[in-house]
Amino acid sequence: MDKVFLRIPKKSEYMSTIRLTSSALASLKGFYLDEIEDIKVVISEICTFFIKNLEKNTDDLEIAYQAADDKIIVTVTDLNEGRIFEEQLNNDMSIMIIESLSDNFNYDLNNKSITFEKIK
Amino acid sequence: MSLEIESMLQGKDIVVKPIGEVDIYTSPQLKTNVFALIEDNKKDIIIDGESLVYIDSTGLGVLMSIYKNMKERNLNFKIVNLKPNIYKLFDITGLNKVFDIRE
Repeated sequence: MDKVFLRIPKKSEYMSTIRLTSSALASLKGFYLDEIEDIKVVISEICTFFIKNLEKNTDDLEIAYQAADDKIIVTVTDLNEGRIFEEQLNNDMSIMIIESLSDNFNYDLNNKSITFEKIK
Repeated sequence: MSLEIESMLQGKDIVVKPIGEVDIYTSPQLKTNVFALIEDNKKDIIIDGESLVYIDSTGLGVLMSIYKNMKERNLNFKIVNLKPNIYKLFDITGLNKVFDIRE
């Protein structure tokens, strides 16, 4: 499984860079166009969720991609101090989209990380 | 890719055409632009999604706030020409049942 890491400032102007990097990687691994679109949307929504819900942005977001022939697993971690609460995940439009478009989705509130899997 | 917004008067409506991506970075631009059009013209608004290549949850939130603003003024708000990958997000979030969306 190939591993790729992207550490990027937690600023909204970098969202298009994150989407471009994610779609380039998914394309390289042979995902179909609609799957690439889903992967791009989900990663973007996870980053947007952290920007909306954890104000501190002096530290970066870390995006870890694990790409195999049949799937991609992506973990986004907010490296800033602070806490995310379970209630913030409920009724959030970003989470609704992430859940719908990913094959497996889980989160670790202590580490402020969200992981999803997309299977070909 | 950033966002450009074109607007034109078409009959009794104003057609707003977002060109590019509406995300957490660019969505405030769309909100400011359309709110100013509502305030200045007090006409029905059509969002033409022909050149909209991406929208995220914050962009959907902005469309919701435009819809509410117009409803309060008894104005009509319509969305047309959405690409299938964009319409999918309206479907997931249930906003396809809130907005007047046409092909």
